[in-house]
Amino acid sequence: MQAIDPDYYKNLKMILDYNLEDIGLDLTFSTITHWFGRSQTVDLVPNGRNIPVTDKDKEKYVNLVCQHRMTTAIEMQIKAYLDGFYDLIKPKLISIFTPKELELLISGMPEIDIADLKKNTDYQGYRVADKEIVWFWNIMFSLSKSDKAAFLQFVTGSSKVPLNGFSDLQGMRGTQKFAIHKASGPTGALMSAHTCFNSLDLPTYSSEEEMKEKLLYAITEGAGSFQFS
Amino acid sequence: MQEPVINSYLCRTNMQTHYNQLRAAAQVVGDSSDDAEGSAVTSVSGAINGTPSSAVTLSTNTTELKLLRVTQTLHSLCTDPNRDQSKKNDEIPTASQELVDLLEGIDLESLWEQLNACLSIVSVLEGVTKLTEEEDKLNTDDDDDDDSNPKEGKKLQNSVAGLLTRFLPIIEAFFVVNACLLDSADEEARKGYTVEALVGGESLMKFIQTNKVLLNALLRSTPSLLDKGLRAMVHIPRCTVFLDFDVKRFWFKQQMRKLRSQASRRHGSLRLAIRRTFVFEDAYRQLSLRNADELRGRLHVTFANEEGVDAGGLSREFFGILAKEMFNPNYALFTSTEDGCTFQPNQRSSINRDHLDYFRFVGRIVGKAVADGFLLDAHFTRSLYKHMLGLKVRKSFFFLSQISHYHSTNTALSFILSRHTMTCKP
Repeated sequence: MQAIDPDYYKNLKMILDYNLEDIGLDLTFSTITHWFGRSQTVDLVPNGRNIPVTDKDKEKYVNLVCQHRMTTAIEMQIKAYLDGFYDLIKPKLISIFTPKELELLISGMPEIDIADLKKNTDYQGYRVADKEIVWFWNIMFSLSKSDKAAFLQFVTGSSKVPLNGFSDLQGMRGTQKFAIHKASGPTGALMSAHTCFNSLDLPTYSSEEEMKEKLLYAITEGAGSFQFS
Repeated sequence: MQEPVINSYLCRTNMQTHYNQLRAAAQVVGDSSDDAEGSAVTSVSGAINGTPSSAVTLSTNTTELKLLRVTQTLHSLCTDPNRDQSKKNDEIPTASQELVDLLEGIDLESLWEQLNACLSIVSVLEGVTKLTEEEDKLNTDDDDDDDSNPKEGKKLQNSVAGLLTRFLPIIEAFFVVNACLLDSADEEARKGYTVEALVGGESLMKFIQTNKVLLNALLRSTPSLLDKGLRAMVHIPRCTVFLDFDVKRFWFKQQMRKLRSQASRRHGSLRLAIRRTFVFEDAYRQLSLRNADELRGRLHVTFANEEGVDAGGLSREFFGILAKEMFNPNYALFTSTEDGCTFQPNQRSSINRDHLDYFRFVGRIVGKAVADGFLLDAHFTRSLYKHMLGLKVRKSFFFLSQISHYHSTNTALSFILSRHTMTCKP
């Protein structure tokens, strides 16, 4: 949400962080949409404009508002877009793919320059000479094109390579280089990623083979169940 | 009036004969399973000890072929003749209770067990010869149809697929028997292809799951199987999960090619005359005049005042320009997320009076590009991809997808973290 409307995000965060009474907000389960000068009240739940929001259920309110902003408000647009898309491709045919595969189908397999990625990587808890890091890059260079793409999707949430190379990788707060953090978990645990921050939490491993196995597992098996990004 | 009765009578007698034949065939295969399948097991095991080439020469047992034919015939006999014939190949066949009972009468389970044993040996063989597996993987991962090192890839693919082909009739028979919908299952379950609605049920799923590597290798070498015996793999959502991306994409491209040539025959090609300075508007206007079927035809783009025949290059250029233009803020159609990488529909797009027509147009452009295999440098939000696939977009997903509001508060951060780790655990 912050990505789309930072001010709105700030307001919502304030609602969550403070008591409603303290900030003197009188909210109901409704929202007002501004339409170039005109405004219109929309109920988030049936008869929502008459149901006050309390500190107890304000999370629900924020959730609903977000959902409204993210889907309901663009429902018509999405529907029109889908109508056009389905003119060419029947839903049944396309539904054999996963969201990540669909991205690759539309945009193609990206050309990923691992050397460039390596050049633009920050480390936290690791040093460049650590054996885990050496292994990691060995593995990265050995990956196939599609595994590299899967890795990029795993770490950044998209298979898009920045136009000017990885020095220009964007994150939540502007430029955010790829970062490898030392994960505190036990040796041999699975790695995890934070797509908002383009970072990878890398646990320690006992061998390069083990790391490769876990990495491939994370980027391929994780892909199906990865609901977050 | 009498005809249907006679027909069905004939069917029934025929079925009886076939039933007997099937039983006989199954009996033979079952009886000789120790020699037939068993010998396969031994020769395959022998192959592990360094002579893979001998395994390739294994020929399929004729009884197995017979079994496949009989099950297939039985199935087509039992299929409701009133069913729309044109749709026959597009969906999973249904099995009447009668057929299920018939098949249950024959003990095919032991045969499937033999099959499983054979396949597990084949996978061991693949696993043991590490080179094969790695090379095979290389081949798998090669995303484009033009193979970079076709010589090596093909050779190894053949050795694996050759072995598998020997078991193909039984694998196909397994799918014929197990991968069909129960007539008795309710409409909802059949529509959703739930496990309960399938004859094979969990054992079918287990089979596919355990043998997914082999099945993918098989489909890679014989893609037409997805239109025939193994079509359940693309039609049952629970099964598609186990297909590799390249296998799916190959099948998808073929379906698209088929539709395109059908449409080209019926409506001719899709000719667009575009002015360079108004690519987006010209394309919008010309596409809005056509119906969905006309759009499927082969695309020919000509740019005004330019000579050139579109052999793909001009189309590529055309899509390249459109992929940029659709995100042009002047049209107010899409907004980018803060990281500037992905786009989603702009909720204020209605400032553009025809915005819904434009969205439809953009959807058609993306669809046309995907259908014709042109790549677009356009990345949408994950939620839009989910919408396109007809997947449910969850509330929390939205909540978190574009940076949660919570991301600075501790509770939510730990929530996000737990979600992250969750996804990485098996």
